[in-house]
Formats: sequence, C-alpha cells, structure tokens
Amino acid sequence: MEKKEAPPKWMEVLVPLVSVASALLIAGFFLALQGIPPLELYSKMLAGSFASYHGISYTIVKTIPLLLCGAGLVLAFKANIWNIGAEGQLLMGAVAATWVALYAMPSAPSYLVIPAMFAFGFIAGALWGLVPGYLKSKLAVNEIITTLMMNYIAIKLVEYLIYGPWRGEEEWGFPITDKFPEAAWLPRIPGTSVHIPTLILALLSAALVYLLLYKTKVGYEARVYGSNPEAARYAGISSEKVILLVMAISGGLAGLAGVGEVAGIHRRLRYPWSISCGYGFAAIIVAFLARLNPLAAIISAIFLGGLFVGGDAVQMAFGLPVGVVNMFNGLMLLCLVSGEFALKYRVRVK
Amino acid sequence: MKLLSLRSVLEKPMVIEEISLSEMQVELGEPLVQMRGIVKIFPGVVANDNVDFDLYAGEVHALLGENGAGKTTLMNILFGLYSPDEGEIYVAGKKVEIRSPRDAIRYGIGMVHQHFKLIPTLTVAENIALSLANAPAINPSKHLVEEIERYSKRYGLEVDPSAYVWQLSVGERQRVEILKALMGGARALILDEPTTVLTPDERDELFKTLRRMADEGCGIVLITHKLEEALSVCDRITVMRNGRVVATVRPNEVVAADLAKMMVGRDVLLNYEKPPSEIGEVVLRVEGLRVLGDRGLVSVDGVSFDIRSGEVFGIAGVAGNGQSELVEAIVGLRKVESGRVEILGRDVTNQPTSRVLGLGVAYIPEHRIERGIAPDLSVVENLILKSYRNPPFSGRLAMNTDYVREWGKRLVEEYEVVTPSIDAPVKLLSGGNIQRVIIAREFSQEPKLIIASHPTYGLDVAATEYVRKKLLEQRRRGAAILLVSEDLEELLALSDRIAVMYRGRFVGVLEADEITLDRIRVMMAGEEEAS
Amino acid sequence: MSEKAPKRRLLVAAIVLIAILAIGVGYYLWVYAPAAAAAAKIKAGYIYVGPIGDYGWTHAHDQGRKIVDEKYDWLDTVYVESVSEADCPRIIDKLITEENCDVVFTTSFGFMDATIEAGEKYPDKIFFHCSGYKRGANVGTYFAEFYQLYYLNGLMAGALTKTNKVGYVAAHPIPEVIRHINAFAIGVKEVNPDAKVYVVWIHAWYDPTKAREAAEALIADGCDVLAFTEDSPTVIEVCEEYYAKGQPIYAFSHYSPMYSYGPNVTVSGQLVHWEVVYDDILTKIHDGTYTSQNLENVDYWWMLHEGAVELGCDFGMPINPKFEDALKAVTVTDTKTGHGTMSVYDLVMLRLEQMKAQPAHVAKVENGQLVWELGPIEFDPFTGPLYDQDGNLRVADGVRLGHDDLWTMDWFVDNVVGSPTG
Repeated sequence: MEKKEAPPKWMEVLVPLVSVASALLIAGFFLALQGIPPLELYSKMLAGSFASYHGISYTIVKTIPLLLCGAGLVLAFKANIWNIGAEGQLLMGAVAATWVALYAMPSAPSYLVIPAMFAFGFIAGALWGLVPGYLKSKLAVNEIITTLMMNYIAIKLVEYLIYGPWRGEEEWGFPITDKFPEAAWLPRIPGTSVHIPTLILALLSAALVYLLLYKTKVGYEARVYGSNPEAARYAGISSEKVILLVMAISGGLAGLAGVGEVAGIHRRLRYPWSISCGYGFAAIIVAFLARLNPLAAIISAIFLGGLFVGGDAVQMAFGLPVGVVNMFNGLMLLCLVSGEFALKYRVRVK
Repeated sequence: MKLLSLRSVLEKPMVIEEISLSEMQVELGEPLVQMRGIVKIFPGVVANDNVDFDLYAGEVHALLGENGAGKTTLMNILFGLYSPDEGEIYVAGKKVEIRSPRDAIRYGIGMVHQHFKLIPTLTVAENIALSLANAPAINPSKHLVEEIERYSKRYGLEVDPSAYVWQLSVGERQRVEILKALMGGARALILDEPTTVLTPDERDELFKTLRRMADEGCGIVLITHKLEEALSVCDRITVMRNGRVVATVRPNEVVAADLAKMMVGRDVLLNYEKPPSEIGEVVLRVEGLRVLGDRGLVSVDGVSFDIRSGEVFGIAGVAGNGQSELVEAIVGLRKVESGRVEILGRDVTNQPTSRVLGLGVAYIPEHRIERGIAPDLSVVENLILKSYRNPPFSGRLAMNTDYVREWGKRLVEEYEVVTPSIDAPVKLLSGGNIQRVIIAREFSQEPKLIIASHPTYGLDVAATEYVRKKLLEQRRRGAAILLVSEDLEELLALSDRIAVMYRGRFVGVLEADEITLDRIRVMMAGEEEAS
Repeated sequence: MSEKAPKRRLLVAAIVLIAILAIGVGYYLWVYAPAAAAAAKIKAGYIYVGPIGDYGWTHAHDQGRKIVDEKYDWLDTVYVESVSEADCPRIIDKLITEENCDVVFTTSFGFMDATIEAGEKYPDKIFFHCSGYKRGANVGTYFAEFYQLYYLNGLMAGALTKTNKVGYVAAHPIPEVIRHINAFAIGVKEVNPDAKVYVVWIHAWYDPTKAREAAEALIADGCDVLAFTEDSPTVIEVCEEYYAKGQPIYAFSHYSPMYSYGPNVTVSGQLVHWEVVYDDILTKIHDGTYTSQNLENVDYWWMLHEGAVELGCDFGMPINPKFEDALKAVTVTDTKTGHGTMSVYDLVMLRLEQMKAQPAHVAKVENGQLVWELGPIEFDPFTGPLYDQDGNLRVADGVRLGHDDLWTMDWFVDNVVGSPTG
C-alpha cells in the first residue's frame, strides 16, 4: 500500500458517486433477499429527505448544526488539532442561550435577546474549547482525550441543571426547563422548523472559515502549524496562539449550533441527547467527507442531514426496524470512506 | 471432478515458476537479468523510454542518474512494483512476466528500498521470518537464528539475530534488509540509494559486503546519484537521463566530469571559483557556548568563534559531535546552558527563534522536510513563511494574496524551482526543488547571516551545484555564512576558514592557507594539531 | 489519454445519477400519490421513543397497538421506533403528510412540545400524547397509572423482607417515579413499620449495566427484596443469580411480564394494558365522539378500575404461587378500612378488589376546564397521615392526595432512604 500523488480532478468527483452507488447495490442485495424491493425503498428514502417540501426542510434543520460544528472542525483539523469535543461545546452553547433567555434577560425584546443568546452561546462554546486548548498549548496534554472528556462534563452539567436549579416551574416536575419567552424564539421559515438566523450563521460560518484559512494571516499560521509544527516554530509562529484561536472558534461555532437547537427547535433546555442527537460527532464525518474544505462542508452536511432524515421514511413505509436503517446509513458511510481511501492510496495485493 | 481441477489450480498457481535464479547455475559474467525496450509512461511523463539494461552475475552495477532520471522506476519494474507499458524481461535467458514483488522474489530478485520495511518492535529474526514464505510455522525465529548467522558470516553482514530492530543503527537495519533479500533467495539484488543514510564508515562496510556478494556470484544494482560511489566500487556504470540510457561504461574509461556531463547533459562545475571577497564587520560572535544534547549530556563544550561578513566559516566533523546542537543553540531552537551568542552586536542568547531569524538570519535546516517546509502547503505559501507577517505580504489581518502570488511567481522563476504551479503542494516536489524553495525563501531577503546545515545532503549533482553557487553568490554580496557539512569536498570548495569539531569542541580552526583534506581528516578523528 | 475523456466520464456519471433520481421520484409519485385519496378508514400513527424490542415501555405500547389493529377492520396503524425528541416534529409531519394518518399517538413525555405544535399546525388531525399535561382542541392526553400496583407490591415486599431493607432501582427523579416509590413505601410500611425502602437512581430509563450495578449495590447493602423502574429484566436476572447461589433475593417485575426471567424470585409486579386505552380512544374517534374540536379536556388517567393496569409478573398471575404460603403466613390488621386481622395475602386481594371496584380519580369539566376529582374508592394509598423524610406531616389524617398533588410530587415519605432530587 502506498500513497498516491495528487489524484486527478475527475476522480475526486467520480469516486464518491461510485461509493454511493456501491452502497446502494450492496444494501439492495440484502434488502432484496429480505423481499423488500430496493428501488422502491430508495425512492422513498430520497423522497423522504430531498424530494418533498417537508423532507427538504428537515434536511436543512439537520444540516444547520452539522454545518456549524463541521465548519469549526474543518478549521481545527486543518490545524491538526483533534477537537472531538464539538458535542460538549454545542451543549454549552445551549446552556448559555438558556441562561440568557430564562435568567439574564427574560423580558428583553427579540432584537436584544437573540443576539445576546448567540453571543453568549459562542463564548460558552469557545470557553469549553479553550480548556483543552489551554492544556494542549501549556502542558502538551493530548487534546483528543481532553476534548472527549469535556463532552461528558457538559452532558453531566446539563443533566444537573435540568434536574436541579433550572428544573421548570411550570413543568410538573419533569426534568426540562420552562419554555423560553417568545422573544427568545428564533424565527422559523413558516410551516417548517428551519430557524432562519442559525441557517444564515451556518452558511456564513463555512464562508468565514474559508476566508479565515485562506485569506488571513492567522489562517495561514494555522495551516502551517497543522502541516508541520516544527516549521511553524521555526517561522516564529506561536503555537499557543494558533491552538487557542482555533479551539475558540471551533468551539464557538459548535456553541452557536447549540443556541440554534434550544432557541430554534426545542425552545427550552432538556436532556442532552435530545438537544444534540450526536451532531458533534457526526460533524467529524462532515469535515472529512468535505476533505477539510470548508465550502465542501456545506454539501457534506446536507448529505449527512439527508441521510438521517431519509431513514425514517423507510421505517414507516416498510415497517423495517430502525436497525436496518442504521445499517444502511453505516454502509453508506463505510463505502464513502473506503472510496476516500482508494482515492488517496493504491492498494497492492501481494 | 470439478473440485479436483480447482484444487490443482490452487496448488500450482503459476507455470512460469520453474525459473529461479537461486537454484539455477548462472556462471560469473553471464547475464542474470536482461531488460529490453522497457517503456513506462506516467500521466504527463515518460519515465522510461525504450530502456535496455543487463545485470551479470558477479558484478556491482551502478545505475547513475539525477533525481527523476528514471532509475528507480526501472528497478521498480524489475521488482514487480510497476508493470511496464512495453518491453520484455528475461531471467537467466528466459522470458518472464513479473507482476508483483512476490513474483520477483520467486525469480530470485531482491530489492532494498530507501525506506526500510522493518517492524521496529520485532527482533531481527522475527522480521526475517515474516518475509520468508517457507519459514517454519511454529516459533520460526528460533529455527532461523542459525541460518541467519550462517548468512551473516558468509557475506560479512554482522547483526545480532535476537536484537530488536528499534535498537539497531541505520546501517544495521540496512544489513537486515539485505539479509532478508538474500535469505529469500535473491541472487540479483537491487539497492536504492543505500548510502544516503549511512555514515562514512558504514558506507565502506557496505561496499565491502557488496563486493563479497558479487564475488559469490550475485549481481548487484546500486542506484545512486553520487559519482564517486559509482567510480569507486562498481564494475560497470549505466547512466540515465530523462528516462533514457545515456551510456554504459566501465569506471576506468571515464572521469567524474564525464559522468556528471552525461547525467546533467551539460558541463558541470565540480570546482568552484571563489574570488576573494571583502571581509567586513563581525556578524556572528559565539563565546564559550555550552549546550546539552537530547540525552542531557554536554554536546557543545565551550565553543567560541566569530564570522565576519563576506566570509564562509565551515564546520567539519563526523556527525554527532555537536554540530547540530551548536546550530540549534545559535538559532534559538535549543537552550544555551552558558556562554553567549551575539548577532550584529546584539545578544540573542536563548532568544526565541523568531527573534533571531528576524534579525536578518537565513537558516537552511539540516532536516529540510521536518523543519524547513510545511509539506501540505503550496510552493508559494512556503515561500512566504518568513515574510508573511509584514507588509506588503499582508495587512493587519488579511494576506495580500495578489502581491504574494506575484512575488512567488518571480521567485520560482528566479530560483528555477521546477513545479507544476506555484499552488502545488510543496511535498510533491523533488528534494532538490524543495531545497530551492527554501533557499529562495531565505536568500530573497538578503540575509546578513546564513546558517546552512548540510545544504546539499541528498541532492543530485545539478541541485548541489546550484546550491553551492547560490551560497557563493551570497558570500560575494557580503553575507556571513556558517556552513556545517559532512561533505569535505564541499567544505573545501566553499569555506574561507574551517573549524573541525570533535566531541563538542573545536579541535582547531584552519585558515584558508592551512586547509588540506588530510589535515581535516586527521583532526576529525580528534587529534589536535601540534601547530 | 485525451484531455476530454475525464469530462465525458463526468458527464456520463452525472446523467446516470440524474436518471436514477428521476426514476426514483417518478416511481414514488406514481405509486404513492394516489393512495392519498382512499381514506374511509382511520389510520393511526404511533411514535415510540425506544425500540419496540425494549421489553418495557415501548414494547408495551406496541403490544397495545397490535391488539387494536387486529381487532378493528376500520383501523390501520403505522409506527416509527427509536425517535429522538428532536426528531419528533419531523416524524409527525411525515405520518400526517406522507402516511396520511388521521390520529397520531406520541408515546413519550419528551414529545409534548412537538405534539402541541403539531396540533396547531394540523388543526383537523387528532393527536394524543402519553404522559404529558398539555392539551389542545385536537390534542388529548392519556396515561396508565401504576401507583396502586406499586402499593400492592409494597405490601408483599414488607411481608417478605427479613432484613427490613427493601431496595428500589429507580430511573429518573421525576414526579411519576417518586410517586411510585412512595406508593411502594406506603405499602411496605402498612405491613412492616420497621422496614425502610432504599433508593438508588440510575438516571436512565433503559440501562441494563447501571441497573445491574445498582441492584448489586443494594444487595450488598443488605436489601433482600427489590423493586425497580427500568425497562429491562436485569434486576430480576440479578436476583435469580443470587437465588442460584443460595442467597434468595426477591423482586417485582416492571412493565412487562418478566416471570420467565426469574420464576424463583419474582413475587409479583406491574403490567399494563395500553390496548384498553387505545381501544377507548380509537372507538370514540371512529364513532365521532372525539373530533379535532373537542379534546381540550380529554385526559385519561386509568388504573385498576378501568382495567388499564394489572397486578402480577405475568398476565393472569397476580402473585407467583411460589410465594402464596409465605404471604399467608404473615398476619396484619387492616387499620385503614377496618376489615379486621388477616394474612398479607388476603390483604393484597382485599385491596385489589377495593381498588378495582371504584375509580380512584374522576375527570370532570367545570367552567370549560378539566378538573380531576377524588373518586368514590374505598381505599387509596395516598391517604393521610403521611409524613415526609424530615418527619413533617405532609398529608393530614384522613385527607387524600388528588391528581395535581400526585403529578407534582417531589418528596419522599418517611420510610424511604435516599434523595428525591437524585
């Protein structure tokens, strides 16, 4: 097995298509064995995620947090900083937004409370990212472990808040906070759950990460550091500055996603896994499917969002257990990742 | 019936297998391998263009050429790593098809790559056992120990079979690779640039071994770009350029300059003209420098010297005598325990690298890929690594992309960097071109002090010539140059003064009129001159 | 290779992809669009929070769904399992717009907001939300209540414990679970005033690993009878393992028939009949009693009297026969309803009959508002005097707790050891 030099451009487009097609073929074979017509199932799936108004709108709903987290992770991974903590950073953004909406400014008008939620959400996510960033830059603690651990701390913190001090007064003792005042509800596209401000922020985040990486000094420094920390040191690039900045922005963007989920979808804080559904982890796949290109992350986030959404159409129409849907999604990702591999490496058998 | 035939196919997969050099009688001087009309085309490049190549039993055959001349491609074809687009291969006179390294090994062809394929956490015997198809199934390494020792003795390849690979020096690892190939039945052995990783002593050892193997009836291909290697140890030399064979000669028929001309396609400067330059003020002053090495032992022990502008100060010495640590301490990459470093009168002892380099210091690092470049970034982005911070390259926040590209294009032209475009990742460039990128970046800033560590290490003839010329250009311009090199010819050709370093100290500093090759050799062994 | 080849390949790939898309969409529209027209029947969609194979909450709802689906020709059902709370709105949309459901049952507390919002979005569809408290013109609520069963389990636990330590593996510290623990503890205390109920929270509805750890911790602490709120038979299995090792620990099963997981140790338990509730709701929708206009005050809180729940660790087996003798051997005096002295076994049967005979709570509409009143039942566990853990009298002698008090309960009665806040 050896690394290929730069693959030709058309391969970069063709390989993912072939990967998707082979996933469909393999899954189709097993479905047909079970007596389920694969074509019918795929058309349902497609209709479920992309070919109906509802499907598209919910695909976008999923795309928003995936893209915000994914754009941040592209930045981090470009700098070779392994932020596995987007999940926790997202939750901290959600906590900050809840604090703003329910406790800090419960009676403020929309034009104040909504920007405040996003601002504090960004800060909270950034701080959550800065802790491992600080440990990495000062003490050389491996960020994979710390960011991962910080996820669990965030989960426990949310649980503590909803069972403890923030348990809703109007909620019959259930572990959820009260609903946000209406001023703190993010406006949605009518008839859908698409929260507009976060959608705009998500698209902007991809563009901004692109500009940051390729048009600014700090982005350049981050890429040099990511490609070769020794060369960065030699060029006088401060690794501390790069690590802290990257973790802050990466965490902050995930924090924005958290704001969107609580203020745009749930309008309250609730169980951590209800808020996030693992967006922070799925965003890792988003970043890599985009080959660490922030603009391509828009496409990969939509793709992954659609995959999640398409699954339940299948469940309903064919009465398939949810495991089959998950298997299908897993197969799709496996084929895409293998395709990526085939693109970068040449495998020799004996 | 069907089952039966299937089984027979499984058991005897290939018919051609009957041929194997290890079992066949090929007399000394008879061809082991013949390659005829080999053509290999990669997208955009003809790597081998109708190449013929013969390897005889009992010879060491140099395959000489610049980087990218097609020597490694040709040998990869012989070893089954690539399949040729056209052409034929004969083993012991019989036409064969080599579709994989496994085929090649069956035919008795072995290859030692530039990058070793050993598993560091296993022992020598275990590594060898892994590579052998017919190793005993149970506790193979134990059975092999004796066998390994036998081969070691026969070819002078001394190595402890029970040592772990990570404990071995580079030279020893190379021996393991060669043993692996020999024990796998190789009679035709290809070595790809084997000396780049070796110390001079190890290199001499290797050449002795190769000679012995040839005398035992093996045929050896030595891929190299070093003229003196080809001339000193080989029986025949095949020179390649641009995918074609230029000539096959015997060493006594040619001199180095002829070979260089064949390789590069034009006359090459082997002796550099070094006009006297104007010696000016002291640029670098090092006083009583004491530095610890990675293991906490004293590596630089009270070294003092000055370098003035317009002067090349060379440091000679066997690797590991403190040269690297000295350079690292000067540029701020390593802590100074005691002593003082002054650049242009300013004390920079234990200052951060960025400050030191900011004073107009160019640094060509010893490990150019590890330190000198950001491999994933483009050529142009590597060119601005030192200057990106300041206008006109950037504003307060944003990069000034237009200017940067314009400037990058100019530099690529000026320094003759061969690259598909200025946006190509620099890791795709050859070693020589990477060094050009580094030199372009460092020299374009008109540095007052240049610190060059092994600047031509691993480069081919043309690139070496280029780098040396550029260094002398800078000398003429008035830069002070600290040149650390193991290549004595290079030091002799470029330096105005040469210090010889041994165990962290300067054994002596030779002025221009005192420098001779022999004096330096003596001093490198640690013997102080009684002058 | 010519320059054009890659582009041509790309074009072919694009055409193939577009063709697949077009065929897929076209096929979908052709096959499924006409289905929207036919709707003389009722189609009910069920949204489950867990997998239907969870052997607890979701499994029980799905059993109920299947039974009514088979019972009525005019009924079609469809379900989606393992729906996270964030995905609920989307699934509702799909059930309504693509599956053409007339009724949607959302069977997790976390689906409450989504159900209310969907009610506003689809004013002519009917929604029923399980375990919540928010309703609308077209959104009703329903719940099958276990506290009576936990009380009856508590009576038996009080009689069977020798260490006077009874353990409780509890899911989440919310009013429903607190209410059930209290009912259980009240039962224990009635038979055995010296016994205490030790609570361990596992903070999960389904987590066999934590349930096992909690059960083993309680046993190590001296508990010899266990009850639990967790959607797996793990606690029963642990007890059966201890029984096999010669240390009998008894347990009460939860939500599903778990007798087979521990025939030697399972005393009794709590069983649910969601089909009773679903049958009532769907029949009333079918005959026009319930419409999308009049559900504002429709709330089911059904227990033994309504037949929505059943005592036992297997259907038709209120008490594992293996324990009959042990329960008959302990005698108590009925101080609460004055039926004299009897065995615990008889007391359980007496209370069971009392609670089956009359409704415990009755929903009434006053001034257009739903009000839950106390039913004419002879006995209810939550009758004063009840003291909290600090010894304060929380419910005065002879006073009964009503629906709202029970639904917001956040304190433990005095013989519970543990914190009601987790």
